[in-house]
Amino acid sequence: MTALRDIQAAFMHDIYTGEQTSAIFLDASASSPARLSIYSNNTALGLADVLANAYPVVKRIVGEEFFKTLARHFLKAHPQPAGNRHMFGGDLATFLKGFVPASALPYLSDIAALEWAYFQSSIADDAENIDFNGLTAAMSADPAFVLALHPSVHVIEQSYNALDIWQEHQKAEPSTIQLTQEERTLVVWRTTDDSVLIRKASPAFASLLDCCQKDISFAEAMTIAGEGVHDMNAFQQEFAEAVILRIFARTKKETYS
Amino acid sequence: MKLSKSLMTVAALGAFVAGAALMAPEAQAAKEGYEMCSGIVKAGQNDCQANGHSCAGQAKVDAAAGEWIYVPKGTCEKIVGGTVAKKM
Amino acid sequence: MQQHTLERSGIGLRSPHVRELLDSKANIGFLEAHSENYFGGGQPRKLLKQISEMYPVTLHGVGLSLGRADGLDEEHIRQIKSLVEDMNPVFVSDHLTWSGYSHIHVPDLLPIPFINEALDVFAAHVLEFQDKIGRQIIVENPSNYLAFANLDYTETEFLNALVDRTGCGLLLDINNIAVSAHNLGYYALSYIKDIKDDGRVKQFHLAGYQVNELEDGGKIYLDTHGKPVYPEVWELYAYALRRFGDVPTLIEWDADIPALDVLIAEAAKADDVRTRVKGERHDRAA
Repeated sequence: MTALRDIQAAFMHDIYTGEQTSAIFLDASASSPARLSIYSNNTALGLADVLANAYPVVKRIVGEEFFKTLARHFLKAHPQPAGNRHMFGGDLATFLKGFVPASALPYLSDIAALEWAYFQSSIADDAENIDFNGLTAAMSADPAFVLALHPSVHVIEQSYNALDIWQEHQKAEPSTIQLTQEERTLVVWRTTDDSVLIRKASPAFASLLDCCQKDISFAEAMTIAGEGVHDMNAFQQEFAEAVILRIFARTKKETYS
Repeated sequence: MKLSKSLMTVAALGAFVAGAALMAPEAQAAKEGYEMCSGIVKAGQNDCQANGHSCAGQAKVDAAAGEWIYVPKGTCEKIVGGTVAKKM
Repeated sequence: MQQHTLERSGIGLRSPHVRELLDSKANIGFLEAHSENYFGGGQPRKLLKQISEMYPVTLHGVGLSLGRADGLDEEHIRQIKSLVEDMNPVFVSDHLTWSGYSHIHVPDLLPIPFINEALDVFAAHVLEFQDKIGRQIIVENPSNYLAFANLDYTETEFLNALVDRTGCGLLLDINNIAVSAHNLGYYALSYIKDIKDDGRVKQFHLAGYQVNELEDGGKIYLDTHGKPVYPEVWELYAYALRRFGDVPTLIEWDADIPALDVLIAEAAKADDVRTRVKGERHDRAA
């Protein structure tokens, strides 16, 4: 450990805990506990804002005060992971499952997962989509061709009708919503005009996306997904819409056609 | 066990994709029926200001014993069926 | 690279103003975008691209953490490089601070102890960053709320040495100088005088601060970017213009963001000061 590393480790520790272990490195004539705490307060307030920006519906559901408390506990368990603040908050859905004060709202974790997918999808890297011609060309050029997903694609598992709750909260005055427990898979991605789309995926289609995400070849992915197909026509339709709506992307290798 | 792998032959796969291409609607039409949101993306969280309230003593709030008096008080009241209705 | 003289002052690009700035060309010199807000793609990135086709743009980083004691984040550099290639910025800037260490980051700009090791680390990171994006960067002086003990350099010595070692430029934030001078008890004018006057100062920042009372009753100046520029800072600015020449200037405003017109008027005030100082020089020459 070098001196600079010691100082930064101590400072970072203090910011996230509110302790003052780095005081030993400071010039007492121009420093004080109150001054040191400016940095930890700045981080707590700043990250609460970042979290509120990514999770507006969660915040509306629980209210301002509760959300502040939630943010304070969350950031200690899951500090900002990267220099870009938009990356902070991805573990909220998981955190909520174990957050006792929110246990009366079991659907909150689903809402959080949906909001995170929505936000990340809206700012994910751009990529060129692959159309049917590109797809056909890639398949004939390489039998082991892997169909890539657009970088904005997020596949999330839900246990409640959180999508209905989310939709209702896009309105200024949400009406009463009946909570129902139902397993569903949602696909969230950004389409041609940069709007973010959300759709329920059939189990077979979800399985196809899962295979694509794991870099399994398209032929094998279709075989695996095909085992769960009950209505081939509907599956084919789902696939057709996905291609048209830019769920799939061209990777650098596929510069055929 | 290899049998299922061969179900999707190159020819079958080609036919599937070709069939899908024929079924594909225009993008705008395809979007019908999807949940979507296309408002302004709120991606502006990176700035370099100090928060004007950062001297207010966040740490004191943390130490307060009464913190857990907070209960959710937002629109959660509008989400009925806290006991969770099972959908058949 | 496109050449811009930037004789008119600029403003920080904030999301509430993007549409208005695109709808009709505003009367400003340039716009400064916070790099991290445009990482990735989608709508924000497309809008910035459109902005960059209408106005000169600078890219101002707030999250790379050049002062971190461990290694720079490769992905972060990749994203900035991609932005630099897309937007053709006039300047690429970052801060004389750190904000991440060992996989933990903060939404803040943290102070660096001005010790030999920190200079070695910072200079190596500036060189690496400049090399990877293929551009000179300019480094901004921080606002300080406290000071470290056992230092090898003052802040101005540290900045001068950094430029000598790396060939980077400086972004002097005049408001930060005023804030730090109040908080740490030194003379803002001396600070400006101590920065070498050899063309290394490439840009000025101006903003408003806020004076708060601390829990222990002490006073602290906070760099809140939520108010007009103070008279004291305008005076320091005029002094800096006399010392460093007519350097491109930018107004920053991040909290309680006002209407675009208010920002443009603030930038026009900076232009007035620049004109006045240029006139003084003219008078002396005559």
